Amino acid sequence: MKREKILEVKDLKQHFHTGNKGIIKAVDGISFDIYRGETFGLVGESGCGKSTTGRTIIRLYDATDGKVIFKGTKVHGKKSKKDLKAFNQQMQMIFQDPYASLNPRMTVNEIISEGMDIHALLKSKNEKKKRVHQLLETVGLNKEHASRYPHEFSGGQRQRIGIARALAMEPEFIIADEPISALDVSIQAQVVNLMKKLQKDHGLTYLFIAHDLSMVKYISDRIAVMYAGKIVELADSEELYRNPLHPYTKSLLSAIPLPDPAYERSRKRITYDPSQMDKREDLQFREVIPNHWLLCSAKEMKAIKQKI
Amino acid sequence: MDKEKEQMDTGKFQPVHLAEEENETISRPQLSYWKDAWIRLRKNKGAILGLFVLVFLLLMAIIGPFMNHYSIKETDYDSAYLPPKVQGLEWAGLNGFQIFEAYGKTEDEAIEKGLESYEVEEQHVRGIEILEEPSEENNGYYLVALKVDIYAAKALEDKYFWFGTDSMGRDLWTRIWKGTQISLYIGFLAALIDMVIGVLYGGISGYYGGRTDNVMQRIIEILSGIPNLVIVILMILLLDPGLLAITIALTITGWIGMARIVRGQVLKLKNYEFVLAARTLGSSNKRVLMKHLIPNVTSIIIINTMFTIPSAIFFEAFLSFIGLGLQPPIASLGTLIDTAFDSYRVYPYMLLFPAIIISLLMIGFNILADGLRDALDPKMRR
Repeated sequence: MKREKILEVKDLKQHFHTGNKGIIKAVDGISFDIYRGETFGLVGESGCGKSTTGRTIIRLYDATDGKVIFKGTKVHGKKSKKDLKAFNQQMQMIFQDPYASLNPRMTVNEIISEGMDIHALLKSKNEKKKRVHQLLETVGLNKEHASRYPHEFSGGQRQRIGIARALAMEPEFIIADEPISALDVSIQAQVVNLMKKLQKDHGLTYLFIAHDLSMVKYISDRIAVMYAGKIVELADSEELYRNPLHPYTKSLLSAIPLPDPAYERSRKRITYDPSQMDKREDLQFREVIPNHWLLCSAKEMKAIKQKI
Repeated sequence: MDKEKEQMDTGKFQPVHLAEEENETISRPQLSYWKDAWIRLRKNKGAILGLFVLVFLLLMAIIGPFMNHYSIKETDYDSAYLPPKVQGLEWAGLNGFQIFEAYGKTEDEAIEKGLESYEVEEQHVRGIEILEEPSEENNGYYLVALKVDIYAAKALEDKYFWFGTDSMGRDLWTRIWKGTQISLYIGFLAALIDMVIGVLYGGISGYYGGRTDNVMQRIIEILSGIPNLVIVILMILLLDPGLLAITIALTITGWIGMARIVRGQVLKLKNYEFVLAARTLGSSNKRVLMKHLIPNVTSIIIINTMFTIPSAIFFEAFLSFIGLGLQPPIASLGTLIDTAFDSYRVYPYMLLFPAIIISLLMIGFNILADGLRDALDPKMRR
């Protein structure tokens, strides 16, 4: 069965100009596809361009170069108001910082129903109220919370309000930009489980951006590893864990602690030395094993193929 | 012994179980932002005092001119330069007595001279006090103070001018409260115009950024480089002196401070995630600006406006004082002080009342604004 591609990213570039004619290549030519109904994990260290990728995909930034195709239509470039509204409704985002992502001057009710107001989804006030209450219950809050202000909530509760705000639009595709990195561990599990449940109930597709590999493995079907604006490796999550090929992926995986003293005693951190990797020529994103892509040179690819 | 203890323990303790739903309840009473701020403002005694003073002055400015039957224009040279006199408050000095001082070789001669030079009849003198005995310093002259009931001297015993009258016999009570009204009006109007222009200009400049911001900021810099007084004088020359001219002159550069503050705040806020979230929801720029950015700057806007009002009032008074302000017969506190200043040694009451009122206004606004700054500061929230 051929799976339907919901999002295609082709050679996407996002460069920022800094003051003195400097250019920061936050995202430097990345390509990947996301299939309908899956969770696509995007991991990498701080400042490698993960969040920029997410924000460019949802049109918060204009792409410098490359294409993003969502359900067969280009995301960037000029759009009519109608197309733009349809796009905004189908693609939503969950943000990283639960303290900054809710307007402190609005009640929860106003925050959640804002999307409905803009798109005139529900006309009557009563209907809107009902929908907000229903959404609050979906994310595990109760309807008394609708008239409260964000500062009265804990981080986990705020994050769930953010999720309810995104869900209010009934989107098909949600970009989760490090939705759990600002939460403590017990709340992380709560939010991730909620997201999994919502995916099952509403048939959502996620782009899950994070830097915590163990959490990403738990939620993702496929994982892309990003380093310095480029995707260095992309594979099914099981495959990536079992058989990491890129030294940076290996380094990342070696950094995960496990609650197993025997393993921990023998665990060795592999440090990644980018200076060695930068010298290679003829770097391309190649499919070395079916569904397992790697940024490598032709020579390296041969060597890997021979190993198998 | 040990056994006993164990048994006791199990009986005394009960496992606490938090139901899932209880976990999410919020016990804090529901408070909106403004209620919360009001509670904090109420705890600040100075600010509340300032608020009361302002409310009192505001009320008086409105009802004061109607409390007696004199109008601000009504001139009557017979009743010029009358000191304050209030029914029932004669004991407190508000009795319409004026003190005249005169020198003379003897006590009697001094009194005589005083009566002669001030054109007062002896029967209206209510008291005589010798201020200086002859000494070498004053060449052996007596200095006497004559307490004269001016109202009686002018045959106006049945009249009461609560704050006295000016050189043209106009009632100062009416003129002062009318002047307060006009001063407040100028202050509020100037602050309102400053606020509207400043918030829009700063908001647009900060939100759109880039080239727009660059151009708008250069305009501000040019405007703020021109001395304020020069612009004001030019404006008053250009327009006829009056309320409108002064208000325009005040606001033509007054909004710059507000624009700068709002721009700074918007620059900070526009990259917050809640603004990005609004944009991913499809908000238009206008909606983001009006619903998300400006509401989050309101506290700063209010505080800044509260400081703008007294400075506008004061600047108007200053302009009037140097002769660029309102033209008679309209009065503002500034023009009243200006006219009173010419003869304040003889008729100090003319200067005293407007000076007290303008001081109270300044202090009231500044204390209240200070209190508001503390009350609206989100960091003070508990």
